[in-house]
Amino acid sequence: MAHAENETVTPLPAATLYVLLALASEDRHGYGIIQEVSRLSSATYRVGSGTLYDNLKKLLQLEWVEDYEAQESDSSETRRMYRITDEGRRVLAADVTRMKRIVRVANRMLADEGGRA
Amino acid sequence: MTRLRCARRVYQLLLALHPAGFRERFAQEMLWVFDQSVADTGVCHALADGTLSAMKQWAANDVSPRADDGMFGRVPTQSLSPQLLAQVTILATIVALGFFKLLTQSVPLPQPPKHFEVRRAGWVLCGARKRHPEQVAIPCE
Repeated sequence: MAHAENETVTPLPAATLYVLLALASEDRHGYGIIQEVSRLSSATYRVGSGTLYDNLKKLLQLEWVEDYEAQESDSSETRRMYRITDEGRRVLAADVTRMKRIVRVANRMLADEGGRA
Repeated sequence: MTRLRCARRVYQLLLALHPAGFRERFAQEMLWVFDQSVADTGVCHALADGTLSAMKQWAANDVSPRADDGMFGRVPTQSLSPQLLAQVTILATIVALGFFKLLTQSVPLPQPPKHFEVRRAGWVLCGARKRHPEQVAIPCE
C-alpha cells in the first residue's frame, strides 16, 4: 500500500474503474459485471455491452484482468468469466488512494472556506 | 416485442461490423449481454453503445496497445485507410438517420394551441358581424 501511496498514477476512466471495482469482490461474467456496476453506482452509471467489452479487451491486453471458461451452476451453458489479477488490484488500489488524496484536499479546502465565511 | 426483435437484428448487424478479431472473441457474449440487459438499458442506449463500440474498435484496430504504456499509451503502426474511413462514415450516417427516425416516431409532434382555434373562430364571427350586423348579436372588439 505504501508503494501505491507514493506512485504517480494516470486516473482511470470511469468505466474502467467500475469494471475493476465490480471484479474486486468476485469473478463475474459480462452481464454480472454490468449488474454490479449498476449496483455500485446506485444505478447512476450504466455500462453498455459495447463499452464493457471495449474495456475488457484493453484490460485483458494490459493483464489487469484474465478470463476463463466456467459452467453455470443453474444451467449447462458455459460462460466466460473475468477475474482481476494482482496487477489489476494494485492499479485499482493506487487509483483509489489518488482519489482519497483529492477528497482529503477538497475537504480541507471546503472547511477553510466555511471558516472564512 | 417486434421492436425488440428489430433492435436485436440491428445489434447483430452492428456486431458484424466490428473488426474480425474482436467479433470472433466477444460478439457472441455481447449479443447475450444485449439480450439480458436491453430491457433495463433501453434500445436506443444499447444501439448507440454498439455503434460507438464498432467505431472505437475500427479506430483502435490500427494501433497496437502495449502493456507498459498504460491505459492510454498507444503507438500507431499504420494510418487509417480512406476506404475504412469512408465505411465508418457511411455506417455512422445510416445509424444516425435510424436513430433520428426512431426518435421522431416516438416523440409526438407539438399540436397548435387550442386558443388559436378559438381566436380563429372569433375572427370568423367578427367578419360575419361586419357583413350582417343585424343577424350576429355577439359583440366584436
